Amino acid sequence: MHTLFRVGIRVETWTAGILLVAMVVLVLLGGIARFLHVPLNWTLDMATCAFAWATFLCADIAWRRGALMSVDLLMRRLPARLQRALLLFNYLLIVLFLVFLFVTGLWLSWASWARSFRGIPWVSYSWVTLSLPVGSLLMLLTTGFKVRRQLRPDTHAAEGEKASC
Amino acid sequence: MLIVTLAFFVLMVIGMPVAFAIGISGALFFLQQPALPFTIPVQRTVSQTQNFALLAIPLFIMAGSLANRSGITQRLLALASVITGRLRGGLAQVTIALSAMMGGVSGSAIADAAMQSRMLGGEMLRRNMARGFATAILGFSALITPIVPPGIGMVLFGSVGQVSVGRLFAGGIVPALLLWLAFSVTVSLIARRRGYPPERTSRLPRGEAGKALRGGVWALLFPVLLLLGLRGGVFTPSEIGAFAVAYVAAVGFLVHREMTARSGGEAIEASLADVGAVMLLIALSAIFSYGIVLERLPETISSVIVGQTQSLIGVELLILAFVLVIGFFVDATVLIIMLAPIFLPVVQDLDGDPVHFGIVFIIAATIGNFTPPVGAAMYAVCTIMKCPVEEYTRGAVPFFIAAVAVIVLLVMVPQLVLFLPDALFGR
Repeated sequence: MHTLFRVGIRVETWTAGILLVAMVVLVLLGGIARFLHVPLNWTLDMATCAFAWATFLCADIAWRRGALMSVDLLMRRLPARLQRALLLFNYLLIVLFLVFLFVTGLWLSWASWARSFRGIPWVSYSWVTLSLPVGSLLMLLTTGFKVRRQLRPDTHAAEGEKASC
Repeated sequence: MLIVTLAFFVLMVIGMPVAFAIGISGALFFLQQPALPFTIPVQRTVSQTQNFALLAIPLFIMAGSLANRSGITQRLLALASVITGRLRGGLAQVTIALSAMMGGVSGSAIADAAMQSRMLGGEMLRRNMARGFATAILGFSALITPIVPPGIGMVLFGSVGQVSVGRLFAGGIVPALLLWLAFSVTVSLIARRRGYPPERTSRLPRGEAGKALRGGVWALLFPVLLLLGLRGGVFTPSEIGAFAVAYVAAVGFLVHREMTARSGGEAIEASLADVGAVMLLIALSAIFSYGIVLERLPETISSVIVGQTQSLIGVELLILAFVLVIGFFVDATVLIIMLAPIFLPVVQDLDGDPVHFGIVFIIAATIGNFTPPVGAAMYAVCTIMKCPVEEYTRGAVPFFIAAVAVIVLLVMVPQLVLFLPDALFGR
């Protein structure tokens, strides 16, 4: 299970990085082509498709590495037990929200399969929409790991930041 | 929307990550309005990532990360020391100059503040500067970074407010220089009282200045190339992010020859989490802003403000004061996304210029990153400098006042912002 998890993280990191680099290359290619008076329309379209996927993959990476900004000003002053209860309450709300995004996103991708992406008849817009439910699913997994770490207080100090790298 | 806004603040207080707090409270609006299709939140979230202008934001973050490994940052540091070496306050002056010059390749105040604290913070303390003072200037100087083109805030404001990003970029240059001046004078005054000496007292050896300038020239050239490129139509605003990455990488690989495939890859890997944090916030905020538009919030707030005063300057000052106060609790990105679409129409109704208002609004909103009790840049510098927030706050008061003074000056004299965009892009 742990090896699978680690491989998954590597795949996610590499995919996100490659998508970002692809965005740079595609946008530059489009710019150069336009400069040479042979405009390529598909480059920017492909770049925004990569943008959607990169956004939600990176969102999961940020969530896992604890890079999402939060306000812990009040939290830190509360007793430890209450802190943990609030943390679990937050996780619960996040799980509900992500499940909503996952289900609705999947449903929307399925229902609007006929909608074409930027007028390209053979590419469905659902390829873009799918990035959100997939990203939500990944973040659900990440949240699951965070919850599990909280529920096993004996390990959570040791695992703490190490697991986030 | 009242319940939604309340929910947002409650979630923030109980430690919910801000991005989720915005998304979840925004989704509450749809629970209250069963008539609305429940697919709208998903559609809005995804459509944010299909916005050509916002495409530049992840790429700017990547460019900033690459700049730190391409030798650009170190060369600018050398140049900053040469420029400010004779000024009272030593390294405090260096960090202001470095923030202004880094602004040309980096667009994020938070990243800049964190980086400079790591680079200069320890040395400032070793030279017996008060911890609160050193931490405060390391933070506040980064206010200049996103005002120098290119800046994430300007791209965001341009996209939410339908304002030309090129004009905003050009409009930021003079205000950035004014902020530099204001902070520099503030540091000098404090340094005189506390006896912080300049970095050097003698003239530079011959050739030193030229060498430092040649080292920094590639970074300083970038914002100029960017503006000329936008002006000449060589590239479009959606391409500037990619151009920034390519430029920084080219300088690192070919000119400085300091970057390798490995360090470049590390820089990209390091930027992934930042990209995710910023973009998730922007994407999910679209759920929230749907309710703002639907409930005609801009119109309501506009009538309240215009009921107080009819003068454009009065209205602008009122709005900016409000932004500063909310900024104590909320950070710049959120302020720009949520408040720009509410306040920009108010100002435009009174014939205010959107570029002028955009720049002062972005400065006021960015100050929110540095003001306690909630400020991402403040958290970053205080953590790195091991500085208690109370000490930071005492150190930050003079710089807060200096920044507000610059904002008031810019509101009073719009030409300070506008003459450069007008000269470059025409009226």
